[in-house]
Amino acid sequence: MIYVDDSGFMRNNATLVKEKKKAFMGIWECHDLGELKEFLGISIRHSGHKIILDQKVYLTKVLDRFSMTNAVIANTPLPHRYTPVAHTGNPDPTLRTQYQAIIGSLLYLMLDTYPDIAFAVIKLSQFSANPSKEHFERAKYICHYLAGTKDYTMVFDGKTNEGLIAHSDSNWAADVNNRCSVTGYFFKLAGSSVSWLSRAQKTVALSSIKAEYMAISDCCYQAMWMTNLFREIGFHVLPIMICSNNQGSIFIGSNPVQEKQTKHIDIRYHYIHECIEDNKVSVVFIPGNDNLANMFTKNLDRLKFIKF
Amino acid sequence: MPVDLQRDDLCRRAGNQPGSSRALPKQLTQNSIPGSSRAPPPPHQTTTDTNDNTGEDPVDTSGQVHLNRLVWEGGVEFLAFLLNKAVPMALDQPVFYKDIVRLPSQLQEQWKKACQEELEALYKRKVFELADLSKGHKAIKNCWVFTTKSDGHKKARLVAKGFSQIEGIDFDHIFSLVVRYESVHLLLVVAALENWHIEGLDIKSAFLYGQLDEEIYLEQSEGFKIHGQEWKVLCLRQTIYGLKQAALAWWKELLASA
Repeated sequence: MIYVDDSGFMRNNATLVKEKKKAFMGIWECHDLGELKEFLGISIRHSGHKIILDQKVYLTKVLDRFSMTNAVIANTPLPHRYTPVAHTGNPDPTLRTQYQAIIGSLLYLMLDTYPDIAFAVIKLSQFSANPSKEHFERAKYICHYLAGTKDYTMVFDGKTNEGLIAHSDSNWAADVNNRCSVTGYFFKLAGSSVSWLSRAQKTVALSSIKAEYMAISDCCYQAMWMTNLFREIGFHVLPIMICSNNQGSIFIGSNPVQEKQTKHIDIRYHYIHECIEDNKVSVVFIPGNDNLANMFTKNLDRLKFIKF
Repeated sequence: MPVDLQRDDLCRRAGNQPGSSRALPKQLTQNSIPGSSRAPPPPHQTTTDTNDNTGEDPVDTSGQVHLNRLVWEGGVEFLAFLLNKAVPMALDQPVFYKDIVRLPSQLQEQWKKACQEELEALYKRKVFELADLSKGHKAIKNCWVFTTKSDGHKKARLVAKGFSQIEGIDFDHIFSLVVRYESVHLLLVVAALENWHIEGLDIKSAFLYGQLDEEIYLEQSEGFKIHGQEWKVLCLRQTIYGLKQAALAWWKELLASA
């Protein structure tokens, strides 16, 4: 993998890697960094069959910048059941700049190694055009949470053998401003999440079944991309299991007949039919309380959050 | 940015503690005329200031009023004043090339060496050559960017001011690489599962490999103009950092080699 001028090589055989590297260095003038320790600001540690990722250096920098290093620790990224409301007054330019700076830093952390703050950051980032004082305080609240979870890392454990499992969830009409639902999904492999997303749906869903259905479809796109990537690097992937906690949406997904109740759903969401027919994904039911994607769609209380 | 820091610092000092900031107005009256020299106040000035602090002199208060007026009005005068204040603050790392001369001589040497190294690398790669500016073209300005690497190595990089490029003339297609963290995670997971060996590489000055289709001229680098040929410009053969099309050109090179 290569990003501008950082690159990493990997293969099961050390000598093969060295050879490839040498060929590469013959073309371009390079610095040999030996074993990969850092990639794009993520520190990578190897211990036995585990790979550990963290961004502690950057996180400390961010906390320093917003003078949050010794902040009081919060238990969750955002308070339970907190729903932000859009600010209707005139935008305050200084506040906006500060707010965007803080959200930008958090977004970077979120994309990289902190899936636990995904929902909170995405939610707040929807107000960056015109933030209120309260939004700013909430953004700082996330920093309080991060101050407490500084030592959390992502651990890819090579010994676990669970396979690739996707969880999808939605929060119907969660946005009080425009009644859009929230999609959340994440993929779990090797004992850790590899890909996650939390975002507002583009259209208004008329019922929770439809909201869930859209979430599963979004999850499906990502699953297909992963299957393709795996195929590209020479792995065979079994149908990816998508867990959802809504029976109705699973039924619509696996039933190819267009029913009266579902005919208005946009074509792009019916993509899932095709994927299921081709046996590329399978959708299964799990109870809502066990659905890990929950945390990408709502602010949970402490108890539930800890469980994940 | 030191400039911002200095401004905050200044405002705070001007606003909250007029007593402790008497050194400011004194310098202000000397340096605040627009277009006046931007040299930092000579060191001996501090001593004269401390002398002034002993007595309540009218110059001091009028200076304070003048400062307040400047802060209030903003504009060129205030900016010139801030610039005056900001530059001497430069730490061991210069922001602009002109800051180098204000550093201790040992550091000056080190930074100049870093610039020299960068220029040598550019010449070695045949990135540009000296030429006359052809008619109808405008030379792009450039500047130096300085960083200290994590191992303490001092690095200077010559960067083109790409924002002055005009679309359609100086560049057509641009694109910037954005990493998808999913793919990074995914590959690392595979590496963990299969117990792969991972090695890292860093490509030196990657963007300098990009081939340039457009005819672009660069001004000679600040501080390193060739003696006797100062009016000449550099005709670019390959992309350098800061050009709009640099990322795309490098990416094309990389794909072609694969």
